[in-house]
Amino acid sequence: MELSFEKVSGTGKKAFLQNISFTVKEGYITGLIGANGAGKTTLFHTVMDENAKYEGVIRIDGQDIKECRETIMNRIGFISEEQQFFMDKTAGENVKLYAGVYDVFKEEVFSEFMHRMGLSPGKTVGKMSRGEYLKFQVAFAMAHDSKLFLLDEVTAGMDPVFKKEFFKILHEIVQDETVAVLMSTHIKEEVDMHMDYVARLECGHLVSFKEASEEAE
Amino acid sequence: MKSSGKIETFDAVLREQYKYEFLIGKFLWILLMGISVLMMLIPYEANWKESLVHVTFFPAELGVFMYLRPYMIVQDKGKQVSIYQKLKWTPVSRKEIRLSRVKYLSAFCFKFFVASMLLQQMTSFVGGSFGIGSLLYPIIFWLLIWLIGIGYIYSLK
Repeated sequence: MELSFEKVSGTGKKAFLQNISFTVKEGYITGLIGANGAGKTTLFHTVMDENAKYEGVIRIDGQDIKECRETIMNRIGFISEEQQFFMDKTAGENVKLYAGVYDVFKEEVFSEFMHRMGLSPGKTVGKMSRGEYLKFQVAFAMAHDSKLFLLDEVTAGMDPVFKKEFFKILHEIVQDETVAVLMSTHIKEEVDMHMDYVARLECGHLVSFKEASEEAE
Repeated sequence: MKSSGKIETFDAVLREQYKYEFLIGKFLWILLMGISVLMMLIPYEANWKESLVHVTFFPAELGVFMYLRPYMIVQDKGKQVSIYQKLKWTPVSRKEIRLSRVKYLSAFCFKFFVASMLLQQMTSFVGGSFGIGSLLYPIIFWLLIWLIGIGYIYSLK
């Protein structure tokens, strides 16, 4: 599932993004880097929000997301601290609530990933640590067969052990060459070690899009 | 727009997981709607100048809010959160969610409209005060209640 931005600019009073154009290719991990306030989260919200106001076109596999949002949202795994799960409910209860909303939801895949990451479906989401909450979201995204993963600053504050496991899972995910990953990060080491491409934002503008090896130089 | 059935599936689980909230709501709307429907035993044509007849409106409106509220707002981590927020990054659109709530509201109001209409006509005929007001009163009454319910559904973000 390929994500492409074609001259995307925010509109309205809170317009910030300006003329963003780049493609998140399937089979690769694309990093989105920039200082706080550069527009990384805004870019994710522009993809995810039903009523996002922008000019230009955001395409997924060539289709304008405004024309087929409901179909496309089935295959997007958005992993962020801002995700809207029911925090007073357990992981399992959240799955029961949301499973019917997706065309495909494989509870056995969810259970497998939760088990692999050492997390119990009986744990209340609001009582999970940051790392556990992100693990839960990854399991959830895998269960509804996501082909595009959008990860918003997920590794900030992650312990090194989990971070290693997390990137191992991420690399396994993109081995399926139909899966694309766009991940925002501040951490240069992550860009150098794990990203294939890097999009750099500054004040809402895309200042560069290049292979990670070139960015490292 | 046709519903995909996804939101109804979600609502079935919502009712199960928020049993307490739906039960409290149900107790309150039964009480309030019961009062409102029983007050339709006051023949409108003979008593339209009496404020008691018009006060009927308020328990009915409250009853509709009590019915709709658990479908619109959930208590989560100590805060009241709109159901639209909980579903905003899922494959169901806000339009679809609103449509489902409008269907629930419409079915809910229609049942009480029918009961009110029957009671009002019965009491008007028995009391010999049947007139055009007897017919129009339940229609306008429930239309207003329905419209205010629609406003509630569309007001939340």
